[in-house]
Amino acid sequence: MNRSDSSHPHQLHHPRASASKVFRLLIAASLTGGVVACDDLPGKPPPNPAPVISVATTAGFEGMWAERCSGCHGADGQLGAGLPMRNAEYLNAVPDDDMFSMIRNGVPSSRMPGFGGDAIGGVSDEIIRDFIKGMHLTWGEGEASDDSRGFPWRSTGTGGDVASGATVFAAKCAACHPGEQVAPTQAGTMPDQLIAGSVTDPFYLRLISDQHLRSNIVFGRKDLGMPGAAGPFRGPDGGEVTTPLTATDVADLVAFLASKRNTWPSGPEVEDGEP
Amino acid sequence: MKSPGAIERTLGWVDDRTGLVAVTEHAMFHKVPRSAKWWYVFGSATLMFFIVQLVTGVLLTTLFVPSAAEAYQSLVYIDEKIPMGWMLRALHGWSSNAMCIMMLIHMTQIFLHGTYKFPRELTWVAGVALCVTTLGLAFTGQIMRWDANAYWGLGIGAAIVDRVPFAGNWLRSVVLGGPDISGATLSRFFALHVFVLPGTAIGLIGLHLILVLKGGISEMPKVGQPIEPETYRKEYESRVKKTGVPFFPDAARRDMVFCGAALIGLIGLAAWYGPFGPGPVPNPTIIEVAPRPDGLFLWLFAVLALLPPYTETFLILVGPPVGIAFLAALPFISPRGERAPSRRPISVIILCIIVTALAVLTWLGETSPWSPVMKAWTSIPTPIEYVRDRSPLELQGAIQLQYAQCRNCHSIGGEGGKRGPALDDVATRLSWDQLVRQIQQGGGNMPAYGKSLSSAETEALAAFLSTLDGGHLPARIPGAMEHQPGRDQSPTADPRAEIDAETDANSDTVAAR
Ligand code: HEC
Ligand code: HEC
Ligand code: HEC
Repeated sequence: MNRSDSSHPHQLHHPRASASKVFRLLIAASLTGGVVACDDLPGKPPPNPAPVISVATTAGFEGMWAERCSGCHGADGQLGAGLPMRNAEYLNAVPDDDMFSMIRNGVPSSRMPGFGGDAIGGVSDEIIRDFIKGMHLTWGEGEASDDSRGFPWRSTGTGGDVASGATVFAAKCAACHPGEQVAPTQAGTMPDQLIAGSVTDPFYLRLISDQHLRSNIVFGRKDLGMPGAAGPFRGPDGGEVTTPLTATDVADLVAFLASKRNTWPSGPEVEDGEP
Repeated sequence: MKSPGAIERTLGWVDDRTGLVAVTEHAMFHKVPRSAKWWYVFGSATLMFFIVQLVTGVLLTTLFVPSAAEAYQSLVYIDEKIPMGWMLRALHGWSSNAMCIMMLIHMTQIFLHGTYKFPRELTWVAGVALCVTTLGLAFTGQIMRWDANAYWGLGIGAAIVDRVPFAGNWLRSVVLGGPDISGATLSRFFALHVFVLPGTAIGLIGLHLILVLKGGISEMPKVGQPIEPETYRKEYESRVKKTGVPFFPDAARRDMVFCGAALIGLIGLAAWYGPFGPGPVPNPTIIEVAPRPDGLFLWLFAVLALLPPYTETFLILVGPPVGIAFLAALPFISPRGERAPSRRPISVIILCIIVTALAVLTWLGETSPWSPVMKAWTSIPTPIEYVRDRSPLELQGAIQLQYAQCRNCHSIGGEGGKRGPALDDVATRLSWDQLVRQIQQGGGNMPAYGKSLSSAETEALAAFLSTLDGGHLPARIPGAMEHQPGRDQSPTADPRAEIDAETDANSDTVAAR
C-alpha cells in the first residue's frame, strides 16, 4: 500500500495536472489508503507488555521487587539499608491489611514511599494484593525460627515505661549500641571494638517511626547481626545475655528510644519529620 | 415540500443578514501576486495540520481519561481495543510535530523575505503569539501521556518556575496543583491542552487570516524594491491589479497539492512508525528508563544540562520572554526598507546562528548521557559492602540517598545516573562541612536540597556519604574523613546549634557561590 502511495507524487508534479485531476487523485489515494489500512500496518504498537507473569507468582514477584523495593530493602530481600523482608516470621506477623496499606500509601512522614493510587507509575490495588501473595509465597515459608517469640507486629498494649526501658537497654543493648553516635574513625567502618552504631542518636530516631523501632526490636536484623526479641543479647560486661525480651520489655524499649528523639533542645526540627 | 426557490430564498436571507457570500468570495477570488509560488504553501500546511489536530484531538478527548490513575491505561486501551485507535494517536502525535515544523518553516520564510514589514506588522505579531500557543500545545500534549517523559517534561517546567524569585514556590504549586507532580497536575494540563490553548489558537488563527486577507499576500522580495510605507500600499495594489491572479484556483492549487502530499506523508508516517509512547513507566518489568522530552524540546533539555549554573536562572527566566518580545517587536524595529535576503545580511546571519544552535543542541540532547535514571531510587540497591558495618544513622542516610533520588544522577557501586560524579569515594574529596554544603546548596547542575531536607535527613546523608572512602583510600584533602566536631560532642552541648547556625549562614550565600 505504501508503494502505491509513493507513486502518486510523480503524477502530481505533472505540469498539466489540473486542479480537479489532482483532487481526484488525492481522494483516490486516501480512499485506497483507508480501505487497505487494516490493523496490521507496521506502525501498530505491539501489545503493551502488561505484566505477563502475575506478581502473585515467585517469578512475577521477584520482578516487581527488583523494580520497586530492592533499592531500599535489599536485592534479594535482605542486606539492604532498610528492614529485610526475607523473613518468614516477619511476613507472617504483619497483617495483610497493614502490609497492603503500607505498600499502597507508604508510611507517612517516613522514607517509605507509596506505590499505589496516585503515585506516578502507581499500580492498582489488585496488583498490590497479588504482590503480597507473591511475597508470602517466596519468602513466607522459610524455616520456622522463633526470633520474635511470637510477638505481634503491632503493639497490642498501651505505651511502655521509659525508665524501665532504659534499664533493659543498659542490660541488653548498650554493649552493642553505644550511647552516643560515634564518628567513623577511618571513614567507612565503625571502630573495631564496636558491633553496632548508636540507636539513641536523636537524628536517627527522628527518621524512624515507633512501629519501625518495634519491628526492628521484635524481629531483629539477622542479616546485620541484630538479634530479635529472643536474643541472645550482650550485657554491660560484654558477656552473652540469654534471657529473651518480654512483651513489656519491647514496649518499654520503644518508649525509651522514642523519648530520646527530641533530647536536644527543640527547635524547628520538632515538626520537620515530614520528608 | 420545499421548492428549490425556498432554499435559495433561505440562503439569500442568510447572506443578506451576514454577508457571508461576499466574504467567502473575497477570500477565494481576491487577487494575489503572480510571483507568490511554492514559497507560500507552508502557512496553509500549518493550518491543515492544525485542522487534523482538532479532528483527531476531539476524537481522542472522547476516549482519554484525564485521571492520574487511569490516563496511562486509557492510552493502552485506545491503542489496543479501539479499532485503528493507535492510528488516531499516531496521527495526532505526528501531526503535532509536523505542525510545529511547518510553522517554524513558515516563520523562517516570512523572516527571510522580510514579509513582516509594513503593512503586515500585526499579522506577524499574531503569528508570534500563535507560535507560542502551538509550542504550548505541543508541550502540554506530551504530558497527556503521563509516562516517564511526561514526568520529565513536568520536571523541566517545575524547575523553571521554581527559579522565579520570591514567587517560585507559589507558582510551582499553581502549575503543578500542589507541591509535587500529582493527579491535580494532570487535570490542570488537560484543561490547558484541550480548552484554553486550542481556544486561543483558534482565535489567533482567525485574526491571523483576517489580517492576511486585509494586508494582501506579499510579493516575492525583489532587490531594489524597498518598502516605503508612504507609497507601498498604492504600488502593491496597482501591481496586483495588473498582474495578479485570483487566489482560487491559481494560487490555491499549489496549497492543495502541497497539503495533499503532506497529508499522505503524515498518514504514511503514522502508519509506518505508529504512535508516540506511552513510555514505560507503569511497566514493572523494565528497569532502565532514560526519559527525554519530545524532539522539539530536546534543545531545551540540552541547554538546561549545559548552562553554567550561575547563568541558568537568569537565562531561563529572562531568555524566553525577551526572545519572544524581540520577535514580536521585529516589525516595529525595522518596518521599512529592503526585503530581499541578499540585502539583509545581518538577518540572514542571525537566522543561520539560531538554526545551527538549535540543531547542535538538539543533537546534544539526543546523544547525551545526562538524562537521570528515573528508577534508580527504588530499583538499584545500595551495594552490600556499603550496608555492612554502618551505624543506624548511616543506614538511614543510605535510604535517604535512595529516597531523595540522588542516585538518579549519582552512581555508587557503578550503578545509578551519570549526571553527577560517582560518590564511591566522595569522603576522600569532601569534608563533612563540604558534604553538608553540597547537599543543601547544590550547585553545578545539582539541585539545592536545603529547603526540602530536614536537618536529620541532611545529617543522615552526610553521615552515610562520609563513610564512602572508595575502599579505604586516603583523604585527598585536609579535613576529609576526620572526626566531626558536631557529631562527637555530648548531646547536651547541642551540636545542632552549631550546624544550624552554619547552614543558616550558608543559605544566604547560595547565589554567591
Ligand atoms: C525509598 C526507599 C524505600 C523503598 C523503595 C521501599 N521502602 Fe519499604 N520502607 C522504607 C523505610 C524507610 C521504611 C521505614 C518506615 C518507618 O519508619 O516506619 C520502610 C518500611 C517498610 C515496611 C514496614 C516495616 C516495619 O515493619 O516497620 C514494609 C512492609 C515495607 N517497607 C515494604 C516495602 C515494599 C514491599 C517495597 C516495594 C514495593 C518497599 N518497602 C519499598 C523505605 C523504602
Ligand atoms: C549483638 C549486638 C546487638 C545487640 C545485643 C543489639 N543490637 Fe541492635 N543492632 C545490631 C546491629 C549489628 C545492627 C545493624 C546496624 C548497625 O550495624 O549499626 C542493629 C540495629 C538496630 C536498630 C536499627 C536498625 C535500622 O536499620 O534502623 C535498632 C532500632 C536496634 N538495633 C535496637 C536494638 C535494641 C533496642 C537492642 C536491645 C534489645 C539491640 N538493638 C541489641 C546489633 C545489636
Ligand atoms: C539532577 C541531578 C542531581 C541530583 C538529583 C543530585 N545531584 Fe549531587 N551532583 C550533581 C552534579 C551535576 C554534581 C556536580 C556538581 C559540580 O560539578 O559542582 C553533583 C555533586 C554532588 C556532590 C559533590 C561530589 C564531588 O565529588 O564533588 C555530592 C556530595 C552530591 N552531589 C550529593 C548529592 C546528594 C546527597 C543528592 C540527593 C539529596 C544529590 N547529590 C542529588 C547532580 C545531582
